[in-house]
Amino acid sequence: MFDKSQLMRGTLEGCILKITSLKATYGYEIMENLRSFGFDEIKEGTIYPLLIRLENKSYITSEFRSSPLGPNRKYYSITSEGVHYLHDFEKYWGRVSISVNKILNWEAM
Amino acid sequence: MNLEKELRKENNKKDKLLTKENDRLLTDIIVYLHSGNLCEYDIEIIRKELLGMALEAQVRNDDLRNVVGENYKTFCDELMKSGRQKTKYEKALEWSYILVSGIGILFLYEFISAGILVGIKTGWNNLTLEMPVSWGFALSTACCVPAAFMIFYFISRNSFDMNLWKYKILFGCLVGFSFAAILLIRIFMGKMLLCTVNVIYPLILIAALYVLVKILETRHTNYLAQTHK
Repeated sequence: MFDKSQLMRGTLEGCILKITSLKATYGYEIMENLRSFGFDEIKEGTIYPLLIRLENKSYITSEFRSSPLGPNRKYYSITSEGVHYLHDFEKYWGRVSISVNKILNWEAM
Repeated sequence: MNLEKELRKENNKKDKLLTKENDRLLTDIIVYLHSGNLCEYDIEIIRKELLGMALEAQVRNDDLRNVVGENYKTFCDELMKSGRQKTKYEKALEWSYILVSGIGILFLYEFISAGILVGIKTGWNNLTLEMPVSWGFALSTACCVPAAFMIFYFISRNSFDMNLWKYKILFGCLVGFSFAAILLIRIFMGKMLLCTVNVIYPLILIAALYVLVKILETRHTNYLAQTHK
């Protein structure tokens, strides 16, 4: 069976960076954004390790802010390194997605 | 002030607000994370964040299981891969702490039990600071520390499965075998004298090392707390 996790990891990292580039946001909100764009199976548990990885790479930064729903929430925002990475991701994704679609739509002559 | 202790205290308070199921799952997750290569402070930070997620989920009438997803191990493995890995310095501090406190406790136990034995046999006036160190003590101490580590690793690596009989039996075997091995060493080599020491010197050495390791650990954790988060 097709293992989605490898493909998803890199793709989601780019998507998370895009979401955090729009405004400072927290895990649950990122998950809801991703779901609203069709990533239906995403859970907070899927993106939390990715947020840690992106933070360790210094692509995003975080701070705790108060929340109306209980304990403080961790808000993530993109860093300048993250913006560079996101630009590279966007360029590469554009090229890869065109190529992959071409191959998948290719029919034998 | 140790910032890790403060964080743990804060987390322990929030822990009490969790439902039983969420509390059990979070405990299993945190125990499992200890089998990886994440440092204690980073695990406490993860605990803080997962507590936040769990408490928010409770407000939404949801639970931590849905937040994390069904495969807890995969989630934890991803966390262990994504998190900052322990540095050599952190590993050295951790091992120093385990060795110094482990050896310290066993030495103190040996000193007190030997003292009581001498007191009972020959009278309390005959107590001296000279303590005979047997091969049995030295070897059993050398076995105790890795055995304790193995048991700890077994529990943490299988935290999600410890309620299954297979793991309970394996755990029992591991503990039983370790205990039996240490006991046999003590029985058969307990009277083979290695040397005699004045307990003051090793006690001072162990206490000094313990204080040194604790100071270095606290300083490092506070540095992490101020720079990383």
